[in-house]
Amino acid sequence: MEPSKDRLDAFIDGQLSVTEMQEMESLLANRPDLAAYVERQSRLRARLAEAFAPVIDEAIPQHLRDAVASSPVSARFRAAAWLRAAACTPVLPRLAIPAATLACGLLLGMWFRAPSDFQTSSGGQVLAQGELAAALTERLASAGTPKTGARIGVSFRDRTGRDCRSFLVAGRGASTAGVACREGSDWVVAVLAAGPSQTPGAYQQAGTEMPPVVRGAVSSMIEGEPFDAAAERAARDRGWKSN
Amino acid sequence: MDASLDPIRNQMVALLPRLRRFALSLTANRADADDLVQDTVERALANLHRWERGTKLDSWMFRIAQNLFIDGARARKRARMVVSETLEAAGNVATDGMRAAEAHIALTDMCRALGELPEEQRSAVALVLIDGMSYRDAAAVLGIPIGTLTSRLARAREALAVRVLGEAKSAGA
Repeated sequence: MEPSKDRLDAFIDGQLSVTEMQEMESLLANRPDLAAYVERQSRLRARLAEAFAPVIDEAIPQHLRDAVASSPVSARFRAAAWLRAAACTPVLPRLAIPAATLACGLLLGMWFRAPSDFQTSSGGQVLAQGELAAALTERLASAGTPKTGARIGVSFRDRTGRDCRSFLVAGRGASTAGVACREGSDWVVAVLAAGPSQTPGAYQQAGTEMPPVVRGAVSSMIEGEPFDAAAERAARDRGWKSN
Repeated sequence: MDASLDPIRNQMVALLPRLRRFALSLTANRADADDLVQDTVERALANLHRWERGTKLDSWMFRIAQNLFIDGARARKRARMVVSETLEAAGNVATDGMRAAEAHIALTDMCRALGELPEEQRSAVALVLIDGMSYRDAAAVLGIPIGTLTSRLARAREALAVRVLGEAKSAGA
């Protein structure tokens, strides 16, 4: 069998299977013409490798080490790494608001949502603003599901004494859910997560479609029972000031 | 800053020698090579979310370097700049002794020979003949079918052998 040029090259480059390599070797033993080609090309490979070998042993210039150590890393990668580390599980420790859940929810939520409903305070807190803030302040879950805008889930007093509400805002094809707590005249977002994807016409009770991260956060934050309709109205009427 | 990144940064540092060699075999010029490596590292970190975990970091970074090199080559062509053929290979290599001097000359000669190849052939040679990648990995880096890779290699081999080793004795051929 006359080997193709490609096959000879693959032999030189070590790309054949062990059996094929052995077959080629025995063939070459009887074909000095092909063996000469293989020898010449192998010599070329060796010369190339030798010429460039010293580069591998050179000291790496410091500015390249610095580039690896301190070039900015993709924010999306860092966020994803964080999410993986936190695994987004609603298994929460007993204390206050678990930082892992918070981080996990926040980062994820921000991607799905246009920033108009949220802003970052100078202190680094995420605050609800615009329509969402208005809905948190005014809207009553007991009044039923609104046709548009933010839907309110449960309202409750948290362990630090703040009034907090879970919410769901629908975006284009995706939604964002979270928990916001009243501090002064601000709604501080404690947890934010991707909500269920939008299936038009399939409205459910807001409380049941909250993602597990949000439900888990609520159950770890809550002091006592969620507000009933009367308590919700009373809390709103006093401006969510929990005395 | 972020400890979860340390393993990736360490992998990148470990890759730097190979990346420098690859960049030098593409650019045939010391200064351009290290610029290319620096750009590659920055681009890789800034786009780290595009790297699929579990796939080879080296292949991905080589691919970035290759693309940056091609983009740079296109830009030079567009600007109709004359690329200087002078080789700035002098550097850490040729400092002392005959051996070092010989090594330096060998590298300079080889860079010059590679520099005369079309860029697409140079990339194939750099990956397979110099870095020693498998056909499959090299084709993935270049984003071309294996058959295209091997035909580029075949053309490069002929040209390079004549430049580096001289004319073949017409024994069998």
